Amino acid sequence: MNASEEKLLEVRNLHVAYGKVEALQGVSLAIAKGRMGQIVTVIGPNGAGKTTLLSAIMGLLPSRGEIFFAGELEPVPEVGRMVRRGMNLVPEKRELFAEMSVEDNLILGAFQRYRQGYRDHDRSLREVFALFPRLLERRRQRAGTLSGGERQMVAIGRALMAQPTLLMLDEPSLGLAPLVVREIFRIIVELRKRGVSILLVEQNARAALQVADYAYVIETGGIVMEGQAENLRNDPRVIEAYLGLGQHQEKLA
Amino acid sequence: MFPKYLATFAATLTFTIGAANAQVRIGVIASSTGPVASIGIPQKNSAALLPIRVGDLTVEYVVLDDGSDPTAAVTAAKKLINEHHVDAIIGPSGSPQAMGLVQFVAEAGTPMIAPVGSAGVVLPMNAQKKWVFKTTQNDSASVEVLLAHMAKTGIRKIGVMISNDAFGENRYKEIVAQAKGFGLSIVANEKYQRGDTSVMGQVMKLIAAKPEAIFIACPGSPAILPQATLRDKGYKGRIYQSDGAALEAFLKQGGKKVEGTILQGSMMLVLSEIPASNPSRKVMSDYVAAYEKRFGKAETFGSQLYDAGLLVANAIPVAVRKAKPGTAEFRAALRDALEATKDFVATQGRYSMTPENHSGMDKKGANELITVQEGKWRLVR
Amino acid sequence: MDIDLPIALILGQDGIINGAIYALLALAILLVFTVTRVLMIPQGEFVAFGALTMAALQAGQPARLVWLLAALAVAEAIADLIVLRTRRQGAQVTFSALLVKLAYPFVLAALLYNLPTATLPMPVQAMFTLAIIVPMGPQIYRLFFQPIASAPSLILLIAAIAVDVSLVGVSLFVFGPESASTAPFSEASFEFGSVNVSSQALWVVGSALALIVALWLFFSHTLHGKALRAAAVNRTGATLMGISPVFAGKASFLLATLLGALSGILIAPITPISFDSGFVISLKGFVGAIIGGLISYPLAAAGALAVGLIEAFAAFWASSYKEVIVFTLIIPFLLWRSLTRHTLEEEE
Repeated sequence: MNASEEKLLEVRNLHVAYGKVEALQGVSLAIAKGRMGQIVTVIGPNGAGKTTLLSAIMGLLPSRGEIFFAGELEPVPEVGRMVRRGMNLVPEKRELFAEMSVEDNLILGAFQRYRQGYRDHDRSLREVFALFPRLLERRRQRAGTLSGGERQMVAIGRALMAQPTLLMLDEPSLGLAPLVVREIFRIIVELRKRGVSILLVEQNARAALQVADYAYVIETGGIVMEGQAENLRNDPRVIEAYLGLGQHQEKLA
Repeated sequence: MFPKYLATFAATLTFTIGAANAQVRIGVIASSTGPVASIGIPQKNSAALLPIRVGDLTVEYVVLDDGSDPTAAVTAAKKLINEHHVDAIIGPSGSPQAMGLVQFVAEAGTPMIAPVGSAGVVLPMNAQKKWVFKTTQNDSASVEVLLAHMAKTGIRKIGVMISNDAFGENRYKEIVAQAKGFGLSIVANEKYQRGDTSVMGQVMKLIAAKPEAIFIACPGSPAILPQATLRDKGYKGRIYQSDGAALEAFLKQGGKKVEGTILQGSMMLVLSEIPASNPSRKVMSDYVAAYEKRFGKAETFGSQLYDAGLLVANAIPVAVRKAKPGTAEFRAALRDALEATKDFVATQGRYSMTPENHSGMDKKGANELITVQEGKWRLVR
Repeated sequence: MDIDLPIALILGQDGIINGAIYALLALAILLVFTVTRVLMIPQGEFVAFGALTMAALQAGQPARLVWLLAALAVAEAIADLIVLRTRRQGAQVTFSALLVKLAYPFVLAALLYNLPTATLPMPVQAMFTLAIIVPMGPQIYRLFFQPIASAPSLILLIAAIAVDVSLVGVSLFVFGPESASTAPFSEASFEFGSVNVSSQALWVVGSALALIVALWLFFSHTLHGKALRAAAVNRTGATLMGISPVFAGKASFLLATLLGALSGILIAPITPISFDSGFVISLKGFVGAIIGGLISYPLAAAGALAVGLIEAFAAFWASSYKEVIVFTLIIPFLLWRSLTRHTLEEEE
């Protein structure tokens, strides 16, 4: 790994502790910069620390270690600042504003940009609706009344309203039907084409490894394996632990 | 509710006036915070005007705040008695607080001189109340004077509006007890809270009963609201107020709405009309001059506490002949001396105490019948 | 006593005027609660501040309340400096912003002590009153509630009570124990049939309506308003959008003090207000907010209006029990709410 200026995101030796329990021990990862976006995935079992990792990078949790984003060291990451600088997180629980309309939810994604002086939220909204036509139909509906898949679309769309260069997704396929999951992953690939890099945390290792460029495997708070996604897909240890017994899994992406 | 916590806290803050190692120590309890602060603040200030030398004895005053709360008053009294070993207590500011203290001062054998209106603190006289004295006219007397005026001017039907607290309740009891004797019937009676922002309902009910005069009894400036509302709604009859309304703020706030009100007030308010032959006039004007030099406009409540202090100062030389200050014997002697006070001239009149009468003032008392004319207090002629 | 139409109209008018004020306070209490989980016990003190400051200005006395603003500003500056020094990041508070916030009360004080405030036009007096009181909201949030923002509700309640008690004490110290009232906005009064309506009454109700509409527009049509709503609905989600809980907290407190101070300015010509009047007034706003289940704005406003009306009529029918009747109203609503709520909030 070279100097941080060439990386979109570089995390060095990250430690996160809850009281005495170390949730992450010395985790390092990187996402390269490029004309097209990169999809980097972090897979691993439940409780390995995947959500903790994203939360710490975003600034929701205190951490020790170094986090470089877009060439700059963030000594104490803070959510507002990260959003302003081009990072956004779609959390596992989506955290939508259930009583507010789809359109209001999306518009609020542009809040920080608005405060920074950008007035392009209408254009961003059109782009999000183009990506998720189903949301356009339901724009006035209360977000809490949508289906699981639609809610996920609102969550992603809302994050996109901030025009991020790095989008972090925490378990986007969780609780969704296979057809919907396929749609979501198609969108993820589409985003990469538009230059948005994705840091994808997934339990569904098969789907994740099929779309990713690079992958990390995390177990009990530490990285145990990393490499090009296609290599990991064929690695016997990974196959045994994460790619399961189902020979009937559909090919995604 | 919540001010109670503040009151208990405030009771722990003390001010002392006079030399730190004085020979005689007097405790002062005044409600300088809380709902009756408008009464307690002038009283607290007046304590600073009391004599710090009597003969060749030095006197120290320890001032505590009870936040207008009877429980805090008890805490304050205990502190004064047990920690400061006071020889006498002046105060507190309100009747509920005073009633609560009777038992404690009696147990401690410490005389208490309370500038409160309720006769209940000294009557009926018993072993406990013999330790208590008061420097204000009895509630009964103040109500009597007003009812007498109503009867004299041909009024038969009256309406009554009282504040929902001890002051209002006491006055109401007196009014009810005495009304028939003056040939008056109460055609309507309403209550309101001191903190109310509107008394429209009560006022409408009073007006509908068509009384010839209305008697309002509430301590402090909240007494203005019902009167202002009555006048706004076109009530043309005469309005009487209790001595609780005899404040500067009543004139300022009330403006045109309180013109023509008849109430009982201290001679302080009509000092210029009091004949020079009245010996209290000089004592009162000296007090007012001293108060205004340091604190701004003087209020009658302050003079009531001042009188209490003067009474004690008057009793000290007598008591010191029998015992040394700081001893239980001295406090008992002080009590005896207070009880023996005869014709003592203070700001509100002449005080003469007897074993049965610890109010010291006869029916004529200190308060004058006054009215508001052109925004000023005037004697009723 | 029988009630006839003229009396009922007068009582109704009285109830609506008081109810309008209670409604504004109920909305403020609801807003602060949904965004910060703080029960705004001190809400009434801002009403008292508003009324008493206007009275002081009209009497030509210097508005000494500005020194409370200065003290809070100094405390906030110290707190912010400490944060700036211990967190090395690009802080949320810049040094220049800190200086401006610190200088503001002193500049304001200089103006107030040197201008002939008694002769200024009433709108200008009102502007000064707001200029003193409204900035206190964010300051109070920053100093007393931001540090304990994630504490259990009980701690927040105790802190709110402590702040309220302190403000009452300051009020007594600054304004004295006497009550005060101010000049009406205009002396006009109107006859509607048999009922006499003062222009002040129209001002109160009209302003309350205008404020409610303005709030509604703010929350439904502006981005900042939506951001505040979002912070109330889902704090985590809002944080992820860069809507910081601190911003939301300060904004809600600012609106609360604005509504409180305005209410004080509106009712001061009608009602004498003293340093301890605030608590009981805000308590009635609370009843309104509880009727709204501490969730619904329209219900809270309607509930507060009902409180005003019930209070007015209860004062006529049974003045000794008026307070009892008004506050017992909460009980059926609390029962109804606890029986029908199937989605319980995590904390309550």
